[in-house]
Amino acid sequence: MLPFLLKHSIFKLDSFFTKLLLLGFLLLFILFPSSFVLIFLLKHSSEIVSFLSLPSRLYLITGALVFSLKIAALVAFVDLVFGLPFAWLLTRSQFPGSRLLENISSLPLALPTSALGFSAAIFWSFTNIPLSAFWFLVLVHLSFTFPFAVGILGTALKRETGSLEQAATILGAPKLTVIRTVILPQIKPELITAMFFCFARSLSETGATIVALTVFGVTKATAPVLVAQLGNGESAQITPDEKMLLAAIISGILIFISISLFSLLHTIMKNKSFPLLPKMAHLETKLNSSFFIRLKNIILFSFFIFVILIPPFFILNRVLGVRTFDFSSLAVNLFNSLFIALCVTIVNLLMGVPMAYFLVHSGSKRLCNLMNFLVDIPLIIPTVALGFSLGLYWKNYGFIVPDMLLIVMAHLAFTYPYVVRTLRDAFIGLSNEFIDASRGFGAPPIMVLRSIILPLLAPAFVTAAVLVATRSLSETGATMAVTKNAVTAPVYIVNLVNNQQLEQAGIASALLIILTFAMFTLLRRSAFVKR
Amino acid sequence: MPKIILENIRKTYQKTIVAVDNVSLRIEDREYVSILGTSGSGKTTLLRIIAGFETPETGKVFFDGQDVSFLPPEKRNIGFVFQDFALFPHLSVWENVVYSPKIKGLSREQVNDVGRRTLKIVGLFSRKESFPHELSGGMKQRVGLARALASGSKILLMDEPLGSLDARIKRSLKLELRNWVKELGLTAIHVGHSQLEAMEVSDRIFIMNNGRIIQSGPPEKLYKSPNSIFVADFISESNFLVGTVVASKDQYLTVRISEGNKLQSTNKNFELKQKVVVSFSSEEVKLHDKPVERSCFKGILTKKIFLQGRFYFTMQLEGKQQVIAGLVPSSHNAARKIGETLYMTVNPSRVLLFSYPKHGLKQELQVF
Repeated sequence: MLPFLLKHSIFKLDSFFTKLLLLGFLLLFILFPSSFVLIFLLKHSSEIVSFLSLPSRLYLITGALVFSLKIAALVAFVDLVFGLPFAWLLTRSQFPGSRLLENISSLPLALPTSALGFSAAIFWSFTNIPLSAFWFLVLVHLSFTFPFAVGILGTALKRETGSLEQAATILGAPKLTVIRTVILPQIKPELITAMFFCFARSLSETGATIVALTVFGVTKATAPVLVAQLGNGESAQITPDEKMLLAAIISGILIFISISLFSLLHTIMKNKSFPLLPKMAHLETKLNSSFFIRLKNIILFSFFIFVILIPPFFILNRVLGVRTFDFSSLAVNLFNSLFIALCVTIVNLLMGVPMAYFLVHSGSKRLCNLMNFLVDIPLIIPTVALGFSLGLYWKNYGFIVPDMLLIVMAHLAFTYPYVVRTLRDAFIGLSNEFIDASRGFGAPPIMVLRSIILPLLAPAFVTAAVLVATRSLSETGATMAVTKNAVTAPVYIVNLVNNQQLEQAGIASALLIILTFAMFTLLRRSAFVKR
Repeated sequence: MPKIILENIRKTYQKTIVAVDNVSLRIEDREYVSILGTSGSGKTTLLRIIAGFETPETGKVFFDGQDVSFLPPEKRNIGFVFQDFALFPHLSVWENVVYSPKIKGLSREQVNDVGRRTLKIVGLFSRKESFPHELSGGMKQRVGLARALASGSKILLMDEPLGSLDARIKRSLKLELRNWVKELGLTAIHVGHSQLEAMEVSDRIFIMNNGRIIQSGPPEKLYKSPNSIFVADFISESNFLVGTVVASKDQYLTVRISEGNKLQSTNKNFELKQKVVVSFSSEEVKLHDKPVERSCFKGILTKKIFLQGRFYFTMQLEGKQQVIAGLVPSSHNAARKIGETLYMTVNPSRVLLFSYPKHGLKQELQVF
């Protein structure tokens, strides 16, 4: 019904021209720019070999990569270990304030990571806990990756109806055994997705890392920081061309690692078996005692309060005494950020709707799977590598692209999958029965679109817009990598920190946190009201 | 030895909605009972309380004399069959069935023995390697039952076990269910809303309404002697007419339905001039071409349908009341024409009388 309706009304989504337009947009604006660095590396292979012939450079690259990978792996692991019980608590337990806790736990998602990183760095410095740079960054990254894990796992747990759980319980399985043998196998795809996203998010994080490392006072850089800063810090001793090569090599490796890992996880996901390990049931029965449950809850809440909740907002406490602040500079940068976010949101919605529709209603399952995979690629590529690659792509073809437009295009590339995924799920959930019923009562197609389809899809549109806008507002790595002259709010904070204007950075971070928090809350509320 | 006893069970939701209201019942060892009721009557909540998924606010649950009111479900040793099967989709038929024995730490030989035995009982041993999505609805429920049996429990709880199945599978599986329960010596509680299903398989039936058990007993007793209009309506296709007691003679009460239309009942618990509701099953109505003596009432044939081997005639009485007669098919009945005037009688011993309800008959029969 829906295909018929759209085919014969204002959209001509089934036409060859539309398909070509969709594919062209995906390839020219999303995929080629995102992976152009790989072509650049192939073209400059001989120069790369000679560049890497010096052990110090090899050491610089491997050191940064290993440092980043170790942080990302540990962050993903901790996110999963704490995220699963926390998501379980939010979805399965009824206690006063559970809804509020759920909302609070998703707050860091909306905050610009450079502001969040600055706040978290100040918090961990304030605690006087002797931390190495590695542990310091792990703690900072946990603040913004944990909500991802809880969000993805929470959605999966909500989807699982209680009857499987009850069936296992009544068959004599203690709670932990039920989770291990019944719930985890059901949410395996989300477990892997959550782990991968947390890993990828940490691996590509730039703004928070630069800010945190500067506050911490170390020169050791992660891989994305090397790409974004192109020549600052440890890589300052090499020529501009070599700096470009260095950034390209790291970007290429980051893209390669992400795609390989993503493919590997896809393969693992296909394996459905899950061992029962009956002997573990005895241990799980013992762990089901009220003592262990209480202990688990204390550890879980302590982790949430001290690692996730307080660090991002700690800065609000530190800026109250500051009297002078350059509001005009922040306002200009903030305006740019908001303008970029608005452009990105509009273009993505315009291009994302037909693609999402196409993915749901395309007749060919094989083509659909391929397109789904292609659309998801920018999600798995570290944003800093994506930004660098995109900058190379446009400059390589001799286009003189204004910086603002470059930033918009970079943000378009990594936020596009958020829109398509959200709207794709909404299209899948839109029952044709409603449309049939409406048509059956005599509504013309345009009325069906206005009175049935759009109201039903409105929450998904709002959700997609919120996701894109907040993600664009908070991005630092891609923005810095795509152009050196970026003037957005997160980059402004990084620059303030780099210039040791920590007080000013503190106020800017606090204001940005308050503003994005207010926007996020308003948009969520409006989505809820519309629903 | 009594197997399951519930004492004064009460459960409310959001403090105001009473799901189960002071229910007490006793289910004997190896008994197959059904709990029947309309949607929202509290039957599923009661079953979930017995299983341990819900905790009662007041009252106690005993299994074999042991108080299990605060025992979690995994420690109650119960077999449970779900309406939506609740088979673990990532496990094969075999793995589903041996889930409980494995979790309980039985040896490999014991696990294999239990799995083989229970799958053979339900006739699905040959499908042990299949996954739930490869099975039909009937097969899935057989696996669900095998899984419950393999748990080794002597108590089997079934929450609308046939609710998701089509009519043909339902017909065969319901009788098999009873046979398996009886052969294995289980105590079974079957929750549902189909009175026909319950009457075929149960030793006793509990009827629930508004969180209370309003009548219980063997199927035949409930059918012949319902204690309320609700039960009479729920348990069979009954006619309900409003009338007034006009005479009491010998062992009969005579009730006047409308001018010239009277019915007799052997129930003598009502006084002269009392307004009553007369109830009788449609299958108890006999048709005549001419008036016959004693209780006889006339009506005009307004509708005629053939359903499940019987003719159902709708007869319009004087006034607004009507009677449905369920008749054995015969050439005589087949030849009757719409608009024909016919005379009806009902055996007085099959005519039930109830006090006229406070809020009226229509309200009493309303189903939400």
